[in-house]
Amino acid sequence: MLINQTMEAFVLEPSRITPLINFDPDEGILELKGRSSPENSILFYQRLLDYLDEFAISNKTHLVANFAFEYFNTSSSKCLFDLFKRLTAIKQNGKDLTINWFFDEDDEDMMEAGEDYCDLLDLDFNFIEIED
Amino acid sequence: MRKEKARELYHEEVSNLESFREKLEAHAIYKDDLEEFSEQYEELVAQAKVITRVSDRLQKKLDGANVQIQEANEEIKDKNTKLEDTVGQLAKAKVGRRASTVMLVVALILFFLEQWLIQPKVEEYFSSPLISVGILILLFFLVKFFESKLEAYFLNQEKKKIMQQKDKKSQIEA
Repeated sequence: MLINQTMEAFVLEPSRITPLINFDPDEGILELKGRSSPENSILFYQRLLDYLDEFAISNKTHLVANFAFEYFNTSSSKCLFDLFKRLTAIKQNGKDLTINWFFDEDDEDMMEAGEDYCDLLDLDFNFIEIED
Repeated sequence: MRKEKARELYHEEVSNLESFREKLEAHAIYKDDLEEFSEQYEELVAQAKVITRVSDRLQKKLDGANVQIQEANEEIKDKNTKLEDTVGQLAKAKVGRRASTVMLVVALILFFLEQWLIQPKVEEYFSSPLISVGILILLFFLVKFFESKLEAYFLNQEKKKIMQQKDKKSQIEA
């Protein structure tokens, strides 16, 4: 069932331990950028996960998700897994989904983390190297 | 309406497990439930794989960073030791010159005093010139002895001064 409603944008400014979150459902853009090691990861990401649940059943047609992490801790990696599960649901609901995974040219680990999510959740990722 | 905020990282998985156990206790397990549970278990294994890999990478990064910090610390220690040696040598040379200058002045004063006060008395009471030469030699060794004592005193003063400057600098930086 698709819900035709106006969804509000969700923006969280970055801090030393939390990434920038910019989710604009009307434009179909999701951005996560920076470092992620919040005190309570699930509390930090829960609101975004709820928004994505709403987006999955909304009448929006496309979503471009950009991820540009410098670092994320173990509990954030679990929350990212939950987030990608929501993106899988969005794709399964017939929406056009593009995932861009940005990483520094000398950060092979970050690229491999993206590959792990990509393989295990069977999602298509565009891997984009950021030059220094 | 927005869902109630979850506080537990694995709240979904815990909730699935509790729901399955309830069915199990009520003897209300069907094939569909088992299939659903096995899918959830499969997903949990997939999560564990990703999280373990991510965690391993983090540990590797931290380990690498620790090694770099240790190496940098060793380098800083080496440089500090070399710097302390150089400062010590410089201070020694500086105080050595200062002590020599002071003792040269003292030696000259003692020499003139000896010539002016002691020499006439020696000539008056003793006929041998060796006595006044002996007094001069005695004065020379006395001056040498005090020069090394003075040098040690100046060196201590200089070290204290350097340490005080270092403390002041670290306080300002802090």
